[in-house]
Amino acid sequence: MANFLRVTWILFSAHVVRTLRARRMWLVAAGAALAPLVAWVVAQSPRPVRGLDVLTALGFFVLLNLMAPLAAVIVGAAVLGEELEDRTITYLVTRPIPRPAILVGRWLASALVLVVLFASSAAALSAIAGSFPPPSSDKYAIPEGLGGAVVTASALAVLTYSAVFAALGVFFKHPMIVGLGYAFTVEGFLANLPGKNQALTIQYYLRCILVSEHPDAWRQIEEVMPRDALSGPEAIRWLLGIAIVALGVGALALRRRQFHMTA
Amino acid sequence: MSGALIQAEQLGRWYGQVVGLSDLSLEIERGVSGLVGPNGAGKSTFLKLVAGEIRASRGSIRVLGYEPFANAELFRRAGFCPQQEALYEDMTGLEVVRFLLRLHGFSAGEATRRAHEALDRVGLTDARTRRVGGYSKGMRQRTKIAQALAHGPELIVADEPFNGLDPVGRAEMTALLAELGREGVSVLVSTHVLHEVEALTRQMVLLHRGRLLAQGSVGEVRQLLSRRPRRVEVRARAPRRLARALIELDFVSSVQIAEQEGRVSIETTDLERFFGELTPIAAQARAGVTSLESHDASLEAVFDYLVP
Repeated sequence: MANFLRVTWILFSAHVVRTLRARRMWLVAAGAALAPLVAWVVAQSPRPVRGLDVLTALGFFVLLNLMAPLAAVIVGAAVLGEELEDRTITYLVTRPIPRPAILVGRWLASALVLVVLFASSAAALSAIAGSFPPPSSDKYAIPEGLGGAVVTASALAVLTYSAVFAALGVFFKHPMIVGLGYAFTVEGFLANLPGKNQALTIQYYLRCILVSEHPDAWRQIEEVMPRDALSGPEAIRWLLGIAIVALGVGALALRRRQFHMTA
Repeated sequence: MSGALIQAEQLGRWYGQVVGLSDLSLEIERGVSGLVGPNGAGKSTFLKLVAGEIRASRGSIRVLGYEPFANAELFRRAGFCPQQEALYEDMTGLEVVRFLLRLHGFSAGEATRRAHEALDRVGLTDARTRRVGGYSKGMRQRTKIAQALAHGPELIVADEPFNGLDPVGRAEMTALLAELGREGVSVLVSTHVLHEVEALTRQMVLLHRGRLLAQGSVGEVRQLLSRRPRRVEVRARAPRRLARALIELDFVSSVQIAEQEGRVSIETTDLERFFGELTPIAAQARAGVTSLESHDASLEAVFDYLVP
């Protein structure tokens, strides 16, 4: 275990630096900045817009539905994909290290960068939405804690999605294609169908975090919401569980995975 | 446990329908050995199996007494220099070697010291703090060798380490590998150019189309190849008369007749003498030879290609 932690730390440290240097991170950072940027542009508009609408619409549709899965698939698929594409995985799999540490160490580095980016983006969005002129009725005021829920959901979205997509990288040659297909077709379909099948998606648990505290705020923008939503802490436990299981399965498979690198 | 460095038994590895290595049984002793064969002979597949990067599809292989695939014990004692030029482009040569040493369990200070030492040894002293992305092919080869030897292994497996090196670089690489051999490190080097191995060692393994063609010193390999029976097919109007005459020769080991097709299949241990004697014998037996074909000509071609 001590060796696993030591190697995980070495790979984490090296990959954090490489992740920050990678060009794809500029794309991901731009994607994360989109929601607060749009909110800021709307704030400059002379038309009266409610801060609550800006926070819920951009937080839900742009950050959680679109940008978080997209960023997670780009970064998550690269956790192993980068080593495979660069054909450097040979150096890692011929070292006396526990192979699961390759996945875990590199994922932790990617997840850290993603969580910081998306939590910051959600916090910035909340701050901008909160700066809008106060609405005429308290009904349309931003409830206390709503911004925090968006920040939590955004951070957990990239954390969980990136863990799933990193694990897919162990099984598939093109995890990005599989990940995109999963995030925007499978999840997009299942999460928007009424019924219990929503519980098969990551989006369901993210929505539970939002809805459990402030259901009225979210029902304005989304018709299909879980009827029997889990509580926030329950949803968080589920999301962390999904991330751990995905990484665990990926790590186990990686122990016996062969990598045939050609010249 | 046998003292052999590498033992392979009926080793096979295929990639889907493509055979990379087939029914390979051999033992390689400690010391410096060369793995020789033309492109596609199965050298890289064999080295990947030795290095524990891939698993065998059938048969078994043991390296330093270990089953190599994903074997941490072996990886502590062996260093692998892969064929691909790939390295961590955004790191410096020093960072690459130090990072990989850290994975071996060395402390940061010790890893740095060993990385400097290894890079000095391969002649990359001046370029060690430059990004690998800007390295030439030769510098990449040196970095790859440095990472393979930095942890002090007792076996170094190098896949085509001479690729991309200029003549001076090749000479330096040969000298380095020979020096490692003198220090007691076993070295297994693959190349498709025989004289590169000859400059390094007399022990070689010759692979062709995924099979073991010969093993031993260059001289022994020459002898083995000349002793190996070659098949010749002769078409004649009177195959039975021809077969009767040929079976008398001491360098003909077997004769098979397909009378209806007018074909005689002969195995000979001395191809040169066979061709020399065939014409007078066929004439004397009034066999009416119409065509002659040697199926093992490719074997000759391979050896001619490898041994100028």
